[in-house]
Amino acid sequence: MTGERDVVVLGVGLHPFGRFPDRSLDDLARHAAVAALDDAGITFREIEAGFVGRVGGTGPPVGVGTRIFSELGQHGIPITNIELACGSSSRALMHAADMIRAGSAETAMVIGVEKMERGMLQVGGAGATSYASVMGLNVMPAAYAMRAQRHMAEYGTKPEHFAQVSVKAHRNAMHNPYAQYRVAITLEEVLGSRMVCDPLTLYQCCPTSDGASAVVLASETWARRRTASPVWLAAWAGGSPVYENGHEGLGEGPTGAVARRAYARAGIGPEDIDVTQVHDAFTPGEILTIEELGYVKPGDGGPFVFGGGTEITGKYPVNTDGGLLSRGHPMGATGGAMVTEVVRQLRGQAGARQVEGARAGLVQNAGIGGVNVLVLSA
Amino acid sequence: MAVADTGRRVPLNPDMVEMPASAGGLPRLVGSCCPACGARFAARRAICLQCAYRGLERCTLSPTGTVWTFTVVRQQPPGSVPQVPYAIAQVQLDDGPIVAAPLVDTAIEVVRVGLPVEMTLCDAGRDADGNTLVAHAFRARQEEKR
Ligand SMILES: [Zn+2]
Repeated sequence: MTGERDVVVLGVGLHPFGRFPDRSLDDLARHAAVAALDDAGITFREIEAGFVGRVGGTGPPVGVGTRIFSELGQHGIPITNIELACGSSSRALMHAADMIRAGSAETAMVIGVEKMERGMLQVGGAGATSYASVMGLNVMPAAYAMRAQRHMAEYGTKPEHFAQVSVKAHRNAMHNPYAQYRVAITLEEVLGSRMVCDPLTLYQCCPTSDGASAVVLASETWARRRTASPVWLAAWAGGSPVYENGHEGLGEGPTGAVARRAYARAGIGPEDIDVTQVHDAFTPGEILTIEELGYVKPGDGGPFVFGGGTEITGKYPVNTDGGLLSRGHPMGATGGAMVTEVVRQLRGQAGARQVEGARAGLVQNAGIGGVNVLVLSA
Repeated sequence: MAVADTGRRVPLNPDMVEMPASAGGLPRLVGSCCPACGARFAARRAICLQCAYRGLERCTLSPTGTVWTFTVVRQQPPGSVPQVPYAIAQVQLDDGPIVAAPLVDTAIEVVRVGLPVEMTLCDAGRDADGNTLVAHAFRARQEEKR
């Protein structure tokens, strides 16, 4: 489009995901940021805008973005905090990309970071004392479990279909040195683990995690001086729940509609996507999302996953790095980690989890109140 | 010293539950309705999601519906009055809106998508004056009573 500039992902970096009681939020963020700067081959002084995606478990609630970026240097750039629950850093990436596309900056860095408490994710945060929490309705796995039950009733999806998502995620994470859980697990072990919210067992729920991600974006003209083979951030789109037929935003947002906008902007369709990262906070996330992304027809997601369709060698490889289930889910860091994995895949740097010949990738990252879809291409 | 039980039942959230005006009456779910387009919403809101009309009116919602989807919670969430295992559901009311609620007085094994349910109340603790707090819940419809 005239007047709009193309955006390149110039560098990516992570702090490993897991539990790091001896490291502060700043430590995690600085580690990922330095890795991304080194990956981009630039210095922090060349960054023209900063964004931080963080939800806010432990640590200070106000002004965290400026403090984290001050670890890297102080040259007066605008720094913005973005909070969209588990979709914070992908939404931050979208706004950073908007700045570059519009010509407001040549470069930008997005840091996603989180330190979390152990235990079950609570809607609205631990210790929330709303009417819903008193009534026992404030249960994060329940939201996904109810979507799973509806899918089972409508399409005949089976508990083992959901469980297989976790088996595949754990197998992929074995090849990811940044993953929280790098151990294989069988279908029987997933199905036999403690039931949390029917049909979801414990091993179908993502862990709570500490970790950080960082992504450096640049305009095409700026990036051309640094790299001969850029990875493009080809399109991005976000959304929030839609009121329809009495349903007031039961989910995280209209993934299907948002994906269609991203496909249209990128000038491609679902059949062109070689590698995908979806928001599998709980196993239904993968099965329901591949349907919404248009990879399979509604109702076909369960058998498709169970038959290996989302394996690294399958038709639509999904969550090649282990996903939220095994890589881990430090909420604010997750979107940036998904982009990091797609960039490594498109560069051919994914080692044992490499999807052969991957040229186009997609990230779907969702949080309470919103969903983001980003399309990348080599 | 413990406050004496008054024997009175009061809603934990009066914007969700309306108690019966007379003994033997039924409690009702409170919602909002749109005088312009007729849309109905669970809980109170000011502006219509369907047509943007400002000034929705308080109304009571259908006490019956069907389970749109459900799950059984088996790990105790902090602060929850219901104790595991308990079922929760998204209930599609007969007059349209969907409302989240615990399912009570209903065996977990019989809960399914499409189960006909009716509104009831469940205990939600006690207030400082000794009143029993109640909140909305649903249970399997007992057709023979109707
Ligand atoms: Zn209206």
